[in-house]
Amino acid sequence: MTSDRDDDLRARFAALRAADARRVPQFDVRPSAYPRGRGWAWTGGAVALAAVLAVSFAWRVGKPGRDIPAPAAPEVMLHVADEMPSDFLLEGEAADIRRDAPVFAVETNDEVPFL
Amino acid sequence: MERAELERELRAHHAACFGWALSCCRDDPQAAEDVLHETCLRVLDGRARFRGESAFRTWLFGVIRQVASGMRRRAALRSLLLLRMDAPEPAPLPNEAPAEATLRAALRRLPTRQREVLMLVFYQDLSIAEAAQALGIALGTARAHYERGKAALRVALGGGAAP
Repeated sequence: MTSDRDDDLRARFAALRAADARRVPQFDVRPSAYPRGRGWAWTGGAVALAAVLAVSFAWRVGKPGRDIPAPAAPEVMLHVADEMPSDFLLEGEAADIRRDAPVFAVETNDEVPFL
Repeated sequence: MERAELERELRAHHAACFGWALSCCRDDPQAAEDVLHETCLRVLDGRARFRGESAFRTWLFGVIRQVASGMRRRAALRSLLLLRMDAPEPAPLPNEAPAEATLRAALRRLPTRQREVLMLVFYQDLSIAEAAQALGIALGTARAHYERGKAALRVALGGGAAP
């Protein structure tokens, strides 16, 4: 059972339905009927940009001692060890020097302090 | 159901489905078109399967509501990712009569469930039981939303509270 008040609402909704009927798009079920994925293109772009910024930030902040010169190349260390008097070194010590030589040896390649 | 039969059913309910999609998309015709199209594709490629547990139209309205809800969620996620916290209001429909605009504005102010039940019952001419099925809620719940929604809508339209 419907009241007059319900009938009034029904009439209003019927007018709304009639107005919407004029806006109904053509029935089309082809997959390419509408451009799809526009939204996800934006989302993907935003995520990619955020990832690039995050990696860039981490690289700049997290890279330790980036102003310190790179360790000496192995051949320089080899040179340092080879220049030392052989009787000054114990067996195996040359190899240790090559491996553990301090960084300043690179910068003062011509004047190694302990030679 | 065969694809041809499904297409026939979709075509038969196309106008009603657009009206419902429009309501689910807060009167945004562009979004409603997208929702309707996505719904049709899901029905035809079997991602949404009709099992005959209700009328086809009732089931279809349920699918439309689900698709619209998913699209709204994704749009909200996009807004969040793009740091756009203010969701833009949809543009007013073209050639909208004043009475139509008033009713739409009043419906937009209602809680979602109440609006949905009223749209299904008054706009789509479903029974309250069918509306409950389409929305996936209990009949008693739908009835309560229906009564409260009617009263709230009358107040919003300036007709005063229900007797």
